[in-house]
Amino acid sequence: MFRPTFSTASARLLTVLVLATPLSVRAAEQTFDFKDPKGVNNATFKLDAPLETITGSANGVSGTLTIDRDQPAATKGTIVIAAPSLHVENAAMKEHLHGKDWIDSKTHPEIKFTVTGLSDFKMDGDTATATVAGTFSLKGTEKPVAVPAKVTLLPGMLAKRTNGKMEGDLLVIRSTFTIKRSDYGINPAAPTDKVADEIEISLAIAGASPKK
Amino acid sequence: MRRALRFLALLIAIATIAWWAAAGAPWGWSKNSVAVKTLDDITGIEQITYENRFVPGVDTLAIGGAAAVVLAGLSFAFRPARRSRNWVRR
Repeated sequence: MFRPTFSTASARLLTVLVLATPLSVRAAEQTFDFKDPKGVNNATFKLDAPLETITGSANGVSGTLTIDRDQPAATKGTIVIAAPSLHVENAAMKEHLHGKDWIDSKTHPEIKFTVTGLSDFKMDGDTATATVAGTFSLKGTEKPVAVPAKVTLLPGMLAKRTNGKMEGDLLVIRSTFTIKRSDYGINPAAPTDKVADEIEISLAIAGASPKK
Repeated sequence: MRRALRFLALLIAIATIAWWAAAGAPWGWSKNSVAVKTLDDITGIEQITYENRFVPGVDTLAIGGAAAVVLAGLSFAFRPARRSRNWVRR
């Protein structure tokens, strides 16, 4: 019968400790993937000018966010919106929108929000409100932004969403903020009475964190 | 011809206004697709999909109105039909 020697037992204990330590340190850290095969995630935009209101949406959302429940301020990650997925209901307007003077989605196919941290974090059950700091990148121009967001953790709800195929948590983020199209070189010559300078963006996205 | 053109102009004007009014008299541009929102009951997010459907806007109304005006204007190029002298003599 095999009886472990002192050195074998120590080695085993050491192995367990080495493997367990990073896990316990990272226990509160969770990564959520926002790529949504169902196409539910979306960003809407609204330009409300005195003479014309332009609204549209985009559903090409992807990216990941890593959240540490013990240190929410250290939240980091990137949310990407595929510029070609921007849609407005008028076909001619959509063609203009994707053109060189406006979004130029062929040259700049990604609209990115890089999250560098959270502040003003307030927790209420599984829902939190916070100010998300980061950089917003659009049409090749990057600007620092700080936007309000409502974050809801739905523990164990991934199974319900995937009909039991995957177990894990969902994270729902909602945020509405305003940027200026002139800051990002989106046809700054366009008259502001017809096309507003301010673009109101609303994000409603859910990320999945499958159990490994 | 004169009368036919005017009748056609009136028909186009009425049809355009009726079509635009039936679509809810929207003051925006015409739409080639319409947003359909459905609620995702797990996340509470409204999913937005687009249905390919034409909805007339003010530009359609303007085109219909312009077509009616052109046809009505064209009708003045034709002289009114006169009764022939032979018919008067009778």
